[in-house]
Formats: sequence, C-alpha cells, structure tokens
Amino acid sequence: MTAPLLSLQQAHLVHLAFEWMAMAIGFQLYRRQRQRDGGSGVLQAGGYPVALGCLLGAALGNKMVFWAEFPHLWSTQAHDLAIWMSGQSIVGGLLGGLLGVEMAKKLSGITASTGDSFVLPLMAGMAIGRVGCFLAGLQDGTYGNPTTLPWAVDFGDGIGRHPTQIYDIAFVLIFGSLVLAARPRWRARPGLAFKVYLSGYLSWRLLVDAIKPVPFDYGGGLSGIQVVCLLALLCYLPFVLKQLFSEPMHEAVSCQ
Amino acid sequence: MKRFLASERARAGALIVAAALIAGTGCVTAMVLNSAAQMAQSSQQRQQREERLRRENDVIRKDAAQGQVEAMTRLGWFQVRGDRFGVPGDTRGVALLEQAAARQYVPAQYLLGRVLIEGPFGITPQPERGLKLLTLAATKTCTVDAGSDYRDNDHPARTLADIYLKGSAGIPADAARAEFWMARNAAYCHDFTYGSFSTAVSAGLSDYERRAKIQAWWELAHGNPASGGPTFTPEQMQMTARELERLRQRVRESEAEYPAPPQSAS
Repeated sequence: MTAPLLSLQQAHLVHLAFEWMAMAIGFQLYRRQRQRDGGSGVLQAGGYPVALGCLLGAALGNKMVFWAEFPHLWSTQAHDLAIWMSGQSIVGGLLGGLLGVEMAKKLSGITASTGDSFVLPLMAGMAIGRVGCFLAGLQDGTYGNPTTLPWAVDFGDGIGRHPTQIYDIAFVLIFGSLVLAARPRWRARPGLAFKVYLSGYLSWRLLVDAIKPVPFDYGGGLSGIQVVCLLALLCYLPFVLKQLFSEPMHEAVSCQ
Repeated sequence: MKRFLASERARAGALIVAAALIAGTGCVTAMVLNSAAQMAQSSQQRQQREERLRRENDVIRKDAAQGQVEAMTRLGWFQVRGDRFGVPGDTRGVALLEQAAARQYVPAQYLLGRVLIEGPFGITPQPERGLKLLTLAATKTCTVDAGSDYRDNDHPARTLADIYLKGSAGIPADAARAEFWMARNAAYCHDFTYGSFSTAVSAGLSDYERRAKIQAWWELAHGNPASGGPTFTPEQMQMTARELERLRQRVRESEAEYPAPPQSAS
C-alpha cells in the first residue's frame, strides 16, 4: 500500500492542520467531560489553572522528550533556534501535561481529582493527530521499520514500512474504550481511569517503538522515548497499582 | 498578571497561546525562521562571493596592467567569453591574448589559436593564423593546464587532431592530418582514449582489423598492451606491430618540422 506523497511544505501544513483539529476537538471534549463530571468551566477558577498547567506542561514536555530522542543534535545544532522550537513527542506531552496539572493544582490549592476527564479528549486528540502524522509520511519521522507484512505502507521511498501511526490509533481507540468502559466501576477510585490510560499508553510506546528507527541508541537498542517511558513507568506504576488494589475511597483525592 | 488573567477573554487567549506551543506552531515557526535564515545565509554567501570575485578581478587587472603574461591571458580570456568582465566577444580580450602570445606564453598562444579558429561571440575568425598558433603550442607543451579558468587539461595536439577530423570554418576536414596530430599526441603526451577519433580511423574495417589497429594506437600512447591483454591471433599481432611501426615512423619523421614538446610539459 502506498501512502499519499506530500512535499515537505504540504506535509508540514497537513500535520499542522490535524494537530490543531486534535487540540480543538480534544479541548471541546474536555469541556463536556468536565461539565458531565460536575466540574467548573474551563475558564473559571476551578478549571482554568488545570487547563493552563496541562497545556504549558505538555508544551515543555513535548520538546524535552524530543530533545532526549535526539541528543546528538545538540553538539552540532544547539545554536539553531529551529531545532529548539521544532520536534514533538506525544509521550513528552502526556508526561509534561501531567506534571503541569499537578503543579498548577498545588499552586492554586485544587485538591479534587481531575485526570479522568482527560481520558476521552486524549483518545480523540491522539487518534486525530496520528492521522496527520501518517499523511506527513517520511517528513514526520513517526513511521516504522521496513517490513514485508501484507499491510506494509510505502511512504514514497519504495520501502514498505510498519504503519506505526495506524497501530497507535488502533491502540488508543481500543485501549481507551476499555478504560472508559471500566470507568463507571472505578467511580470510587477517582483518577484511576487516567492513571490506567497513561500507564497503558507508556507501556504500549515502550513496545511499539522497538519497531521504529532508533535515532540515538541509549543502550540495548532503546531510543530516548523508550527510556523515558521506562523511567516514567517505574515512577508511576506503583501509584497505579496502589490505587487499583487499595480500598476504594469515598472522598475526592488529590492524586491523578 | 492576576488582574490581566481575571477576565475570561484573557484566559482564553492564554490557553490558545499555550496550545500553540504544542500544536505544531513550533514547526511552522521553525520553518519560517529556517527559510529566513537560509535566505540570509545565501545572500551573505553571494555577497562574499561577489566581493571575492571583485578583489580577484582587481588583482588580475592590476597584474595585467603591469605586464604579467598569466594575468594578461586570464583577463583576455575572460573578456573574450564575457566572464566577469563586460560582454562576450570583447576585442580587447583578443588584443591581450595577442600581446601575451607574442611574448611566447604558450597558454595564450593556445587560447588565441582556438579563438581565431572558432571565432566565438562574433570575433572575426582567422583560421590559418589560428592553426599556426595551435601548432606552435603543440610543439611546446602537451597540456594547457590552467585550472578552471580554461578548459581543464586541454591537449593542443589533440585539439588539432579534432579540428582536422571534423573540419571547421575555413579548415577542411583532413583525415591524414588528424591522424598525424593524434599520433604525436599519443607518442609524446601518452594520451589516447577511445572516442570519435578511434571510431574514425577504424571506419570501414572489420572488427578483426579494427581491434588490431586500435591496439597499435593504445601501445603507441601507453607503451604496453591494453589491460587484460587482447586475445589476438598471430596475424592480428603482426597487424598491430606493423601499424605501430608505421605510426612511430611517422612521428619520428615529423620531428624535423615540428619539434617534440618537452616531456616535462606533459
């Protein structure tokens, strides 16, 4: 199968369009989720710090994990503003957003759990964003290694590759749907749905990035993103498992 | 800041700006910045190149004015071609080449010879005089190697062979003269490659004879059989040897009229 062939400029614009679409749709879904969950409006005192903290944290995390993926660029390109400003990573965005929300809640004194409202918006946003990645093809750098599987995709260089963007879309939709289906059962464990979703996605990326090109090998064939996923899971999984197997709490908790 | 962000509009604006830091604006901004930086760099490189050429041109003009034959030749050639200085066909360039050639500077003799034969850019051809100059150059050097200013590694003798092979305005094609100059080029300058000349000298021959003849030319130039060694019959070897001797004899006989170029000049 051959993917649509876009020039560098077209690829950038298509990617950009899908990113904004993902952000816009994700944001609207978040607003509705907050309303459904009885939360305040996004622009009001209870919701605004969370939203801003999430976005700023995601923006920073985005770039930091990208830089971790390409550390070898720094020795030659550190003077290039374009390198500082370009590059993105969903993993970095998720982790940065998580930390941003936690800091914002700390600073504004919000103690209620806020993560579960993010699950559906993240699902939708990531799936839509990945369509843009797929269409951007070789210009995007999110494609997989060469393969002879029947569903290999030729992104324009004559080589069939794993369409890892499609795999990602399938995972977030399937896994995310399972988490949403389980959410009513976790009502007494606020924040658990988000924790499970995030842990699941980090585990998925740890595995699926093994069939993508590795820009910089940190050892054992691990890319920067895989190392970040591993470290994040080591820190985060204990919280997830603790909440999953502990007695349900009946009051709102501050953990995500 | 708190007062500013108290209004919902300001908050919405702040959220949009924060979202823009994620949603690819970085890439677009980087693209724009990159393009601007590349354009600035190209412009700077162009200015540096132009400045460098301007300085070089000043040096060439100054040296030519002081009578340095190499500078006179370079300036003359540039002016004839319209490179860097003025328009093509500038007769001042021809005059400079004439002056340098008169001082027995071989590259100038060679280039002037070509200009007078080819008559480029509206310059009046003088084929007879051009041939004399090229012939003079061919007895003084095997190659005119003056870097990228001229055609690299031009061989005056080979140039003459080409001119006689194809003919030129005012110079009829002459296969015998072509062979003569190519033989000298091969013997003194060790220069022979398969091409239009080898095709011409073997025209009308069978493949059997053609191989023997070309082998002789190869040995005349390189003094040893072609790599791999042809699988010749004894009859072919004799044909090669006879052709080789004929060519060598012709070259030896030519030395009375046209001295061999110095070996160190090749």
